[in-house]
Amino acid sequence: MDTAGAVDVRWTQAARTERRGRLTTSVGLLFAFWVFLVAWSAIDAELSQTLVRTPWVRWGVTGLFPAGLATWLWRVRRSAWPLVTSVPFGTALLVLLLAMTVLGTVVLQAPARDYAAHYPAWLAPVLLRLGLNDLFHTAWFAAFLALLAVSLVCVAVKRQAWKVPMWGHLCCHIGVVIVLLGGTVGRLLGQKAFLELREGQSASEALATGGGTAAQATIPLGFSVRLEDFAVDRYQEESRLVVYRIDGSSVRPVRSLDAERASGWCAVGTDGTELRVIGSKGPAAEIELRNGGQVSRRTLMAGSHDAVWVGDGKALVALERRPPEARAYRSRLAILENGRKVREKTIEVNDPLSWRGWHFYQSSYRDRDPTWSGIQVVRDPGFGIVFAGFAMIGLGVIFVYYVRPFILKRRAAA
Amino acid sequence: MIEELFGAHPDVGAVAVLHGGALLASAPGAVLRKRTLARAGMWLLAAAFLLNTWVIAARWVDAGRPPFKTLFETLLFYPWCVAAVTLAFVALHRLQVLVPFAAGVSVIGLAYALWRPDVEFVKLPPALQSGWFVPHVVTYFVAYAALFLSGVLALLALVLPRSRCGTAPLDRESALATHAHHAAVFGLGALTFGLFLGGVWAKYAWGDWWSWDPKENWALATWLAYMIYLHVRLMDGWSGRRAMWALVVSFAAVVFTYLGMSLLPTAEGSLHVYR
Repeated sequence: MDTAGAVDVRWTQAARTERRGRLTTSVGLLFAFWVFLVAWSAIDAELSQTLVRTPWVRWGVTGLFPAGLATWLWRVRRSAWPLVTSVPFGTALLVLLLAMTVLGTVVLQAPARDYAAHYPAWLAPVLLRLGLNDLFHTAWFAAFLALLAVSLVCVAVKRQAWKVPMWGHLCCHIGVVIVLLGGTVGRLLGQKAFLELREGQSASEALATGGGTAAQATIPLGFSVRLEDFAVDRYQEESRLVVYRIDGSSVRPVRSLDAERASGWCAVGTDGTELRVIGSKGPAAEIELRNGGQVSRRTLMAGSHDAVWVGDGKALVALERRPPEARAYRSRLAILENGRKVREKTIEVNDPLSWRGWHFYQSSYRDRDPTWSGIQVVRDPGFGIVFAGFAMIGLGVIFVYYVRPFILKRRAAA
Repeated sequence: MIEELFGAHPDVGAVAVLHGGALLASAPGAVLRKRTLARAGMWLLAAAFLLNTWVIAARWVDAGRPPFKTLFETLLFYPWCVAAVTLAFVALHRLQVLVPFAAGVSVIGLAYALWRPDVEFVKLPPALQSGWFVPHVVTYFVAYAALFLSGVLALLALVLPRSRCGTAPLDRESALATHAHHAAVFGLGALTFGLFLGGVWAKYAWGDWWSWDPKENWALATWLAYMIYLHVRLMDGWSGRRAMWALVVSFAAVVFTYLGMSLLPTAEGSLHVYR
């Protein structure tokens, strides 16, 4: 048998020969690990509040957890390797991560103060104590991601994933590790801040917003940013003639005509009534209704609860003003170093400015304050790594399912 | 009458009618194994696909933006993707058995779209005005279409163990299961690329490639579900029926990611919920 076949068999055979019971064992083990981590962090959080004066007691109690874990891991060290590198273990880890991800969408992710309004008095403190209100930033979620990374690396080593037919598997598995690594680098070394500027104003520090930073802390940028100009580009304001259909208690729009541009007759009622616009200006429109030989004229005003019943009373026509929504908002930013302008760029959503590792994203505007611009400021040294991980996984998927079968087929034929 | 049924969108109504015709022809064609009916169903599906292409293109021109913003618009685009992937599968693997399912799901989607239509063009907010918008949405919807077909094939593999089905040469359970696997792999690949495109886009738009938004989380959960499928099928005793069940259940996650967001208590702050 050639190498390609041997490695391929090694990968799949090893997986297949693993005992069936392993999946439930692994799920159980990982669930127990989750309970362990949650209990550990909950007890630690509890003690940090009650034992403020005697922190050494807290360290003594919570230190038992890692000590116990380390002792247990040492005792089972010989069986740990085959377990952690087994397919059932990897699957179980994916199952647990899926369950956590779903849990994080079912339980409200919000600051503790919002909890009283959403959950009964007995449930809210339990959810908060388990960290479920910010599940994706808990220590135990991070521990599971770390475990995933460790197991992926172990698997790649065990299956000798560096051999050519395994490159795809290597890329897919290690790519995930790289993405997680990039995320960690971004979280540890990156910074997030917010900049509020008015036209003509400049700033050399921004207000920190990322998790873990003290509120109201400022981050020095190392240079100045000046807002030269700010503008909001809006869609045109519109008047719409909206036809509603009324069925019992349900009222739903069935037609909407641009009052300034609509021409010709348009069917509106269930009884063959037709409508056309005669003229429209600002918040008013004059319409003509026709049913059989009967023609009537009406004037409608927007925002005045002024509506016309049409035909057999199952349709209603109203004039509505559509406010001019923002199409784009743009800040012309200048970067100043030692008082000199070194860079200028107009930023808008989807088009940030980058300077010395900092990225400036157009984030918000205020309707009533036309010279104010809200700018998100981000430094993320991990994104390049994340992007590399994405590329690895993408190439890996193509390799595994579309290139490797081709290689194996050719080798088998040769 | 047409007005009453299809309101402001008679063109969408015509696409729905063609899909309905494809369903009415191909379903008995598959059950009774009538080759002519099955073929007629396939051609009707192709006609529905072409007309839908025109409807979407016209809407793109009229709205002056890609028509993928609202639930209504995606309910026009999803049948397009399902028809495209189904026709590709029919051409590649002679899987005519998929035609009634593709037509059926399209009829359901289009009927809902006609029942709750957009009566005016919703404006595109600044965040969606990006070169990443179209690739991201298209990749995801192609993935959803392929994963739908893999779910259908998996279900067929479960309920039709050893019977011939329609005009496709499917004698053994494994043939259906193999096709289901291939569809899942293609869909999962597209899902992966869609996820990455979304991440890179989010980085350019907001500075964060991942923000634990409920829709993102469900996209991740869906991706993990298919990852679980890929791994369980390697395990002893799991490669057959259980793996097929994994595909069916995973497709339920796709459906929830697409349509279930508004049911979540966390959806309030989401940037991805259709409104």
